[in-house]
Amino acid sequence: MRVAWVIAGKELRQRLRDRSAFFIAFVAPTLLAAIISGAFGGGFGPTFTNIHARVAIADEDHSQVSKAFASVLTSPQLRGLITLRTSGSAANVRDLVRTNKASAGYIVPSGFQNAVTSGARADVVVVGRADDGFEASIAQAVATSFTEQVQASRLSVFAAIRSGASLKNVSTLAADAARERIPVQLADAGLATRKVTGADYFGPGMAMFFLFFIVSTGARSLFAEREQGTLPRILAAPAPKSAIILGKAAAIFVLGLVSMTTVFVSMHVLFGVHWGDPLAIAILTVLVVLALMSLTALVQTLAKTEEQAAAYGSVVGIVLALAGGNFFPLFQMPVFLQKLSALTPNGWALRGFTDIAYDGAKAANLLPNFAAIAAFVLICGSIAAVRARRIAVA
Amino acid sequence: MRSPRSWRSVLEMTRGETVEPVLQASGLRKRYGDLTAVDGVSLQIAAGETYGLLGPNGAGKTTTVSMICGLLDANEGSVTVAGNAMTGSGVKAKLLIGYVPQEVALYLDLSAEENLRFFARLYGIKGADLTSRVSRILELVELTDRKDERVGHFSGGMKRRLNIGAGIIHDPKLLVLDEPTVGVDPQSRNAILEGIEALAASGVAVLYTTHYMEEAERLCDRVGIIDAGKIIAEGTRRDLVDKVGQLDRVEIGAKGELETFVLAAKEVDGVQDAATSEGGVHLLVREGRRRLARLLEVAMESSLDVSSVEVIEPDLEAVFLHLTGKALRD
Repeated sequence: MRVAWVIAGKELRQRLRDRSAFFIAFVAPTLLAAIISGAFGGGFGPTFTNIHARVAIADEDHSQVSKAFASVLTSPQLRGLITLRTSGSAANVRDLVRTNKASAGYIVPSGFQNAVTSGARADVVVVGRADDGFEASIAQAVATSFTEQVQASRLSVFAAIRSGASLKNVSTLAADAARERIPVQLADAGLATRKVTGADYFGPGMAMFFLFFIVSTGARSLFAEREQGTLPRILAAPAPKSAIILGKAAAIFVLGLVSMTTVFVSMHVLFGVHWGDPLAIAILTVLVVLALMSLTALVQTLAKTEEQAAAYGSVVGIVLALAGGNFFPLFQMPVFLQKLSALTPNGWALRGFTDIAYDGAKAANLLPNFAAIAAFVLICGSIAAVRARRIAVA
Repeated sequence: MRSPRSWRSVLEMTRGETVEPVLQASGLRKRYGDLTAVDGVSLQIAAGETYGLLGPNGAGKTTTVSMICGLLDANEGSVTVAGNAMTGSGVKAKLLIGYVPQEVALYLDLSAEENLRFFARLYGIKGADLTSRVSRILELVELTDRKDERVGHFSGGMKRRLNIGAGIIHDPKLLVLDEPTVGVDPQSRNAILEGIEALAASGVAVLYTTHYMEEAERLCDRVGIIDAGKIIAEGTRRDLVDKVGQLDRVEIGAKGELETFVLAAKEVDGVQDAATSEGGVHLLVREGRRRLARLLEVAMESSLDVSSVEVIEPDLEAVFLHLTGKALRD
């Protein structure tokens, strides 16, 4: 144990003296998180205060119902969320969306009102761009809300007639039904209640991304020791091989923790991010550092040279960062990627961090996250420990 | 680097009596698949003795050293250092060994003092003792004034000196040096050799591997010639020369009746051959120094005007060539 501490002390001294390592551990994650957060204007999530959709509409029906839909879009409730632009044709709407002059578009087809009143299928076409998820989703949600309202009104009238109401009063019934709102409103349904901002998502996201490099650099130091001849000298000293691995791991662990903590503190100071329950944050941070250490250790044991170790480490780091949501918010990712992220420790950690920051989750609420990451640590760490013996001797 | 006398005075401050032999290696064997890198090597070194393991590159020197230092597990054989077996983690044995690898095994991004402190701490040295030893070694390798500089800024010779300093900071009983002068300039090499001589004089057992014959001849009390993983001859230089029956060369610079002298010299006991050469005569003689007085008498009787006499004893290079049929540096 004494030797492990000696080696850990030496490692930390070397890492802190290395300006590039210092940059990767402390400056880069904070800087990148700040830039990405800034790119999202302080928020990117499904909150109406941060998103404004520019919507185009082509009314090919020119009916009372289609005009009612347009009036919904310009209603006071949606004025802060949607800017409506009227267009002459469906093709024009598609063109506006394609050229990014509108973030989404509606096409109310000819015969829409007739379909509504006759009980036939009535569709409002929503046009969105694949790379503009939130704003297209908002447009979709508004259209859905409207058509649901129409459907509810239609069912109300139908139910009234079947109950014996006079057909002469159909228009009055329809107007009354239309004034009634279905219980679930746009602002409450389909979109999250929590406020997601860039800073508090990308803070831990970037910290973890750079953690890959910190851990990878530390793990590669074993190769460096061998290549510069210091590993045989250490092994010739009364130092158990396990102490060498333990010492290096301890240094990486300390550096990883300090790096993550630096990002948390700087994001709090710079962006006023409130991270939430400190205990939950601490447990999650420790676990994610251990997880990335064990994963990187495993990857390094597959390498035969320092160059290979660097290449493997970079590839694994970037793939996991992409799959785990470090670059793109998990809830914006396609469903299969969201499922894929459940296989990554950083994915679990990010979910945990966002749950703590946005939903006020406590440590007790994050037991599944803790368990998933701990299992990852155990599996990767055990395999790496077995394989590491071979490396230390080689 | 300090003179041998200075090294000795510094080292004697901490060294006590040593029980012999310090190193006992028996039947060491190391195989890599079908290749037997070391094949039954045995050697022992007493306190204060310098043992040279002489052989060409690839002969098995570094593998032997690695097994002795506990870096490699031997397939067969045993190693004990001052009675402590190099088995398992070999902690007790390792505490007594100072290992100086072939490469400069230092951290270039740390200072000279930081390097020494680190390697000393690996041996459990701490507190005031640590500070004292680091100062002593810095003084020994003449780097006190540059102790705070990063090693990466040092010259090759300075790195080599510090490399040895790191190997002796814990006062080992056995110092193992694996070709420590490879790529070193002549001045630094001389300083390093002086330092090793001083360490041996202070009672340290030294195992020195080299393929430089002249280093082995200068430093080593005994030499083991290793080739293809086996020690093929062992002993003092004289033992080895005698073992292979090599003759001394006697070169006499002279003018006069050279042919007359050659004929007379061939009658002298021990002279195997004699011939004139440019500016004199050269002779092949068994135990040349012992026959020198008689040869000079014959020269005077032959009315030679002798200007110089040189006895050239056969070297280890010649012994190696005789034993293996190839040059040491092939």
